[in-house]
Amino acid sequence: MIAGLSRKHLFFVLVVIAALAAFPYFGGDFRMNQLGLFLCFVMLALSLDLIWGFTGILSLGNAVYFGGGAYFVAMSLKLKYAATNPARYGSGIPDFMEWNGLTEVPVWMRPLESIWFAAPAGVLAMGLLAFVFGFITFKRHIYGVYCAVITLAESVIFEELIIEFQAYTGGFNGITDYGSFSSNTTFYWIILAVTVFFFWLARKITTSHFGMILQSIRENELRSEFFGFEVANYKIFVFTVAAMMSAVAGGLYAALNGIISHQEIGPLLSIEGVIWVAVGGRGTLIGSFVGPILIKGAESLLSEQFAWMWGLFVGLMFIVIVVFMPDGIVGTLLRRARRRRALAEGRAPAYEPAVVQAEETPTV
Amino acid sequence: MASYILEVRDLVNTVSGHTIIDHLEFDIEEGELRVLVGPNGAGKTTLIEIITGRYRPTQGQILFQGQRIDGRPRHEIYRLGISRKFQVPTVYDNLTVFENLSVALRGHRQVFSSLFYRIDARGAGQIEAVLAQINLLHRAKDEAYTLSHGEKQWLEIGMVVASDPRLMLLDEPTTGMTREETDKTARLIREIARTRSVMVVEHDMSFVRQIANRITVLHQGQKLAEGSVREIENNPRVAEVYLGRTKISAAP
Amino acid sequence: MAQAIFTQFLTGFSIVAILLIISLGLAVIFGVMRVINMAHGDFIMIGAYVAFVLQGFLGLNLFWGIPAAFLVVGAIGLVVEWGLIRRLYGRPLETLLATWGVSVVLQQGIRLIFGPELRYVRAPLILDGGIHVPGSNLPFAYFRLFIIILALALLFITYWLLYRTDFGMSVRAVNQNRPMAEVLGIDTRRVDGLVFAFGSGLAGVAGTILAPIKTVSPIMGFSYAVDSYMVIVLGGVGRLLGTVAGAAVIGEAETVLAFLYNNVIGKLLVFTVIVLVIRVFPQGLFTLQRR
Repeated sequence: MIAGLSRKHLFFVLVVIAALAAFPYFGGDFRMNQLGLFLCFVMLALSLDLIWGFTGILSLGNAVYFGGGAYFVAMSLKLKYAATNPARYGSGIPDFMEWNGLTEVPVWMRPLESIWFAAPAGVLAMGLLAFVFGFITFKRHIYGVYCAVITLAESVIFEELIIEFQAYTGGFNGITDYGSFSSNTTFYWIILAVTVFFFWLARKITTSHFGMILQSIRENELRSEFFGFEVANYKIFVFTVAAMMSAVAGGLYAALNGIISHQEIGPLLSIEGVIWVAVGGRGTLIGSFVGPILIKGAESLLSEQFAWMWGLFVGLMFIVIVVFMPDGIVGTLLRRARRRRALAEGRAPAYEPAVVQAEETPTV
Repeated sequence: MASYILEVRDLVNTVSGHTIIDHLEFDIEEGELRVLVGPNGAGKTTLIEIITGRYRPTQGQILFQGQRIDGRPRHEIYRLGISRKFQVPTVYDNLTVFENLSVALRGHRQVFSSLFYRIDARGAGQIEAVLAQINLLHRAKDEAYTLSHGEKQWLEIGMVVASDPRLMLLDEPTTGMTREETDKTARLIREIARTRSVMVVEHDMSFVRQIANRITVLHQGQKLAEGSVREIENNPRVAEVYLGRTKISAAP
Repeated sequence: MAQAIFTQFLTGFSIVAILLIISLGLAVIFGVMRVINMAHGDFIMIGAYVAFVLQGFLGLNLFWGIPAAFLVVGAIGLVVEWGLIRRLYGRPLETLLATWGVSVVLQQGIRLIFGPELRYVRAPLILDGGIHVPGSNLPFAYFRLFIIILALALLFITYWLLYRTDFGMSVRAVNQNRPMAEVLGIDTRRVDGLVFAFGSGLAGVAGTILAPIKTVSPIMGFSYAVDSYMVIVLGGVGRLLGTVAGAAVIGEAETVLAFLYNNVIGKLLVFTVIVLVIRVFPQGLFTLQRR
């Protein structure tokens, strides 16, 4: 079920990367910034494809790791900005801290002043969080619908926590006004490079024997358990890697966007991520590029005129995709290509395609 | 004195008031091909579930090559050398036949070891040998969902063979098969059983006659009778339990 | 202080009642069909809008809203089940996602019709005021009492429907052993449809009753939905007792902890407790015994 990467495909991939790299020269600053943000979303979608498309773990709360990474970076940049801009920040501390009665940066937050600490710390912290969550959930064979619902609740709670502790997080308004790397071509290329790297990494993982086992878990977890695989370990591993990937994406997003709020950590972004992967194509990797670019791109182009019905359209489209095109755009195309090749080789597939899905929690 | 690959000692399994396995005593010798029969609800599949570690018995012991395995985790029991085929053909639908077998191939079970492994020539050779055995060489590149019911059964049997166990547990390998498919399966199982111990659960008595040396009859969680095919067929208590049912195959 | 905690404990009863009302419909649906309806919160929201329309345009008070919401949202549920859920039979994750799409469509639809502004629905005048309970330091609102009574009534109706009618027997048969029920001649697809409609109708009723508590808006349903999922995860599937237990534990714990610490910490602690309980009882506190 994995597309072979022939010479032809590799050439096509390089063309796409080259086009993306050259984009700043013909797209202009505004669109370049947008594309940079979209690439961060692509990385989020990629991490979701790994855990959902390949392993069958439906997480409705993965934005927690994206937003977590984002907050670490945003906070670091904000602390630096506040300390070095006496004209704006007289007392040298972020505005939301001042509004909440703090007179100086709390001791435990001091290490975040260095971005070289904060960024990796954010990624590791999110990895640890995912590991703990995975350990608690997967070791007890909690998956399917139960897992989805628990991850949803998790993201709701984290969103509320972020809003609640406003002295430390900027509360409902989030962290704003800390300078950013927008309209910076070099930073855009950095984002592009990281995205390409993550795709390479994901491909390495999914084409290895490990990737095959992940798919077997998605197809039939019980069967794999009785073939000697400690399924929980595989899930925990891929879940943790995906979380750290999301955290990096979130950090880059924060640095590019110049503003971060609870929206980057809550259920809405989490579910949006799932929609991107579902539309693009689960278990295809390419789908996680196509999905966000297509949907976010369409949103930015169309929603100016059709803002009032954009939400409705997305909802309907999502229903149609889930019911009639469960493999997503790329997935459906790949399946058709495989069918054609099978027919050409004289092997005629006889039955209807089985939908890529995971089962609900069985009686253990 | 023959050694036993599997020993079941005073096994009891009670679930919410129902006793499914009732003080069962049962042995399989090393290298044997044993067939387990019995009416529905006799506890055959439950026995397999307990042996492979899905359920913990309420009481009793299971010994594999002399070691206790009851209560141990599933992956440990697998690695000791027991592998099973489910009652309903359970394969990986969206993976190809070749990929299905490559997952089942023994070895590289740990996360990190599988991360840095790719199927090598030796592994591919082993898979091709199994494909030849189960007659699915021509289907190697097809996704498993395109297989017919009988072919899926063979695929799963092939997966169990690829996992190279010392004791193979096959739960109803011929359900839904045609007459010819059943005969082919009988030959396949006899071939497989030459190099390892096999326990087959079955309903189809004509199939059982083709493969069995020894039969154990289970009834209401207990061993009702044990012996050769002829002894069992002439056993009046067994006939009574099956209640005048002529030994009609379960196949359509 | 003890009095304050006792007061909170009493208030907790009405929170438990609210949780029960919003979870009952989903519990019945999930119990029979193993389907999580992500649009459940929006069914509640539509029930609230039914009350708003009745009150604002027809001058009818909340009591009329109850049967009206049941019928309206029940009908919507029937359409959703027939048009969508049915096609995704046996694929619970797909169904979850598809119903999320329904949720978005409903929210956007309501927003297009009524606008995004907050709306207000008044409780019936007859329920104004409160009763003084000895030992507590605040009067117990009649409206809250009404909610508790209604929760018990709905619980009783659901119980009666499931355990004292032929239809209920079919439902329970499908719940416990679907293939066997089919073999026995029960039209399981029809049962699914009616169960989904009934559960949706209950959600609608919940929305009507809760309309005076929170302001009515297109997005009001989401938090209710998440609460109801937690009740089901904790309480377990297939037994009404589980839903009651789940609602009771979460409702009381959240109320008391919110009072002692604050709202968000309370929720976090309750969530942690739920996750820990699930480790020990992966199927929830009360489940059907299965072989």
